[in-house]
Amino acid sequence: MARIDEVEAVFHEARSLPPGDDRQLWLESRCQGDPSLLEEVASMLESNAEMRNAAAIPPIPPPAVPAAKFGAYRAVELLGRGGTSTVYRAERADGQFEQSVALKIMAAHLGGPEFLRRFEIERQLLATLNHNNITRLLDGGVSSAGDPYLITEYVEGEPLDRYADSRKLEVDARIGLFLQVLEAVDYAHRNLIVHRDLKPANILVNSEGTVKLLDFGTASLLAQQSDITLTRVRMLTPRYASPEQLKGERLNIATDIYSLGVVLYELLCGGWPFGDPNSVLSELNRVTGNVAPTPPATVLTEEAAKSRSVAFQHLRGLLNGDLSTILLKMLENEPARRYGSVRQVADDLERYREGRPILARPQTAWYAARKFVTRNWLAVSAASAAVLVLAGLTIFSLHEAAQAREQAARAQRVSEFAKNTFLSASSTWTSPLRGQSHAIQFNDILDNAAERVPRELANDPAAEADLLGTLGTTYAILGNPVKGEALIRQGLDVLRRSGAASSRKAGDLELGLCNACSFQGHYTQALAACREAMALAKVYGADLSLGSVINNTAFMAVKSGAPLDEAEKLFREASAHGPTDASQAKLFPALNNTRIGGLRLKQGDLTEGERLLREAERILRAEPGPPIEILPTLDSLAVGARIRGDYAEAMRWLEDALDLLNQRPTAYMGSSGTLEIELAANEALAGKPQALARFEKVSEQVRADSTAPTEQLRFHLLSGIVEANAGSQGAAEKHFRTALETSEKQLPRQPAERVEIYLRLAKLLGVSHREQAASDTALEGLRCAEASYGAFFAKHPFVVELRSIAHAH
Amino acid sequence: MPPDVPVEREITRLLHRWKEGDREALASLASLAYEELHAIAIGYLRREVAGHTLQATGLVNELYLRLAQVRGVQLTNRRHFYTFAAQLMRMILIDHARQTRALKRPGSAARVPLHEEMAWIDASSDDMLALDVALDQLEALEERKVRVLELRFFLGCTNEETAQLLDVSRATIDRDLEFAKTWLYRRLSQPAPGGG
Repeated sequence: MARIDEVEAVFHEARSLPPGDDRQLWLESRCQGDPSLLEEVASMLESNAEMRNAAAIPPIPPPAVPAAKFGAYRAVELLGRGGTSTVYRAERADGQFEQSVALKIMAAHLGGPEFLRRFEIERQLLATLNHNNITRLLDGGVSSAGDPYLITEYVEGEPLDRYADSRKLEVDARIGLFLQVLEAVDYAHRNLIVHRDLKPANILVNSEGTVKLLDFGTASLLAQQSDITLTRVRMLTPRYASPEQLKGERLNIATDIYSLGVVLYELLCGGWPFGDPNSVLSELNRVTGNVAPTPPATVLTEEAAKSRSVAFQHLRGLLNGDLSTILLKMLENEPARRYGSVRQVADDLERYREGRPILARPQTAWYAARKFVTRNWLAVSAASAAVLVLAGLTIFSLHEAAQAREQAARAQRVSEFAKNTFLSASSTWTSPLRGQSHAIQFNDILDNAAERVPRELANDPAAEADLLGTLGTTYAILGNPVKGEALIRQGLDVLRRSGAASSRKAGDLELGLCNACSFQGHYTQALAACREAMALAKVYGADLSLGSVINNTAFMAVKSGAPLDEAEKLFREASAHGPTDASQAKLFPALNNTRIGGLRLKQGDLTEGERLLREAERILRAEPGPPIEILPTLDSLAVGARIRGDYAEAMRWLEDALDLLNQRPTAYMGSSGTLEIELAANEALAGKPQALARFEKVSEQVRADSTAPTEQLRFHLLSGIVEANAGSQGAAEKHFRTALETSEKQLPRQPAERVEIYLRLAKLLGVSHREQAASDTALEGLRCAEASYGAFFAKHPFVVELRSIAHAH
Repeated sequence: MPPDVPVEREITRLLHRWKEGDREALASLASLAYEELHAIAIGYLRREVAGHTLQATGLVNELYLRLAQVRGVQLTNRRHFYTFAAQLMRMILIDHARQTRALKRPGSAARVPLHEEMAWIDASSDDMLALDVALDQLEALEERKVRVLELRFFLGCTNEETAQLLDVSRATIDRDLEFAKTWLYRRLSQPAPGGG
């Protein structure tokens, strides 16, 4: 028998010759002396010819138009056919109306009781959709032949992409069409219906330019069934499917947002965001995750520009900035990082059209910020944007969030200005907005700007100081507060030299300085800067409202270890001034009550503290959502319940808070660690066995995130409680002593914080039969309580307990 | 259905060995992962009794995710990964054919071509079982050709992609495929010769 590689070699040589006698002669001479080789190759050549002539499998013939009636309707002509359904144009069987409808018959094999049950539920749900941009469901049921069917409004129109291309619509007109799509999907979402199969073929535009969405809900009826008859075996990763859809995970509105992202991407750019849509490798790469979409501006072609009636360069310019940011946010791999709702997408697109800043932040800055955030309990967000970070949750963190949000908004405004005035010539500026760059490049731009500002604005000290301040703040937010502080101080110097040391601008810079310092953990310096800012704001006004500036000062007072009543006084003063921003006015009293209530609790005034907190809770709960700002309120309510010894109540507050947090991953990145630890401590105190496991799950992260002394103290106190109840007395004692040391060294003027630590430690010592030490510790606790609780001393639950331990020995 | 933990651990171990170049680990891995996938596949197949569609998407996605989710393993060797996936895909499709053959209603004439370039094979019929046997025979003669066929016709790579993955020229793949397809065609259109 001839060897296969020999056969193959001769086979290929022979195939390069035209078939016929000449080839036969060539072959015979080539295989001289090897008859088995000759026979094999000849037979292979014969088979090859046969194979090439082999008739392909005939396509499945189109089904005949069924004669049966479907409700009041009769099928007239075939419109389309998929793997799971066939669609006909249909008319009333009684001829009463001429009007056409669409009849969609589900494939017979889908029948079965389970399918029919779901079909019925979905049909009822769909019947409730009544929107101008959604094809209306008119009827549905099961035919006499047993086929489930739906009757919908019949739409004569073109698929979205073809409609836009055939009319050479410009980008703005395309966005206009897409906004109609968003309106329809948003409407459906608000009616709890997810489409799950959004694609241009399901989005028709009629001759009046009105968008009509098809197949709402049928996608979920058909579950995972692909709507394509497979004519060849290959992997069919749906082109518009989201990663979670590919994974077969539970779908929600984020799924539709993703698919809409792909549709919009193609509509605007003319290309698929993940390379060649026909390549199985690019599809598979997408399935495995980790594949970022190609930046929109880089997939454009001359042809795409032509069909959008613009010059190539112009189109690239259009798709570089905000539109790119919006698209990439819709196409985030993780659902939680996409827009939270279709409405938000529409809002951003409308903002873009009106030339206002969009709310999505460029990913580059986000990534840079995130790194910093995980280290620094800072909330980062673009102009009033949704990304808020609660790495560690205390009553203080939200203040920082709001602060950072305001700062970031401002940073964005001024860097926009900077970009327009003197950075636009710099090629490095454009790169991050193309989406391909990383944080490094963003920093490059900042570095570049930081060098250029003093040089190019030397004769305009006000502008120079302003930009130095903005750059400094941006640096601070993006993870380099040291450099940020230096730049802001440089800006303050510029003001001083130009005789404007005492000015509104100086106040704004001081506020920036305060943040840059607090990001480094330098709370005393931060407080000093804040007091300066407050003094200047009272005279000259400030970019932030005076209330916000005073609030800021109050927080720094707490963090730097100032006596709690001083801080409380500042909060009350802030309350009196209120915010100037109307959008904040509604929540401002509730948020302030939360802060003051928290401080009241710490100072032993449980009645007033809890009253204020419940009042805050009531106001916040009445808001739609409720707003996530309610978390610190719930956290403080839990602390109050814990002080009273009602651990079950504390657990309820915390579980509620964690639920809210889990429902809103988009709004709050970061960990829920501190809430979890507080919950674990209460579980431990209530004798629940799951406490330790919960604690261990998050403790490392929370420890790492705890940078400010107030947070470290809380972490160690709660850790000690969990460990003590788990029987690890050594570990517990160590935590309590660390907490005490932190408090005494770094927050000596806040003895209230030490009362509970002494109490828990004394109890622990009592359990270990170190009675004398327990008694001494309890006395220390009583001393702190006496110094802090004032009139509330006698009846305070901690005091009662401390007394009984002290007197027992 | 919670994943079977010991199996997952075993898969991890095998993936590590495979990554370090242990050829046999791939075979063991295929059989282990197959167990898992088979259960999933049955689930998918049940949902589309007698349909003409083949939900390859779901199956291969599951496969990739299972593998990609195995923590601590970086699937750096693309070639191994994809050839492995293609082999699994083949097993699954053969099984699918076996299933649908059993469920096919008499008189149902619907045929599903395996691929437009191998349209003479009905992916929903006994053709697939014969193809499977023929592939095994070809593998004994020339393993690489079978890997090429699997990538091309079971996983759905283009010739270009197949060439890239196997690190050979496009022309080589074109030639490989022409010969291998012919070989299969001949084997499947003739009764198997006694020899080998």
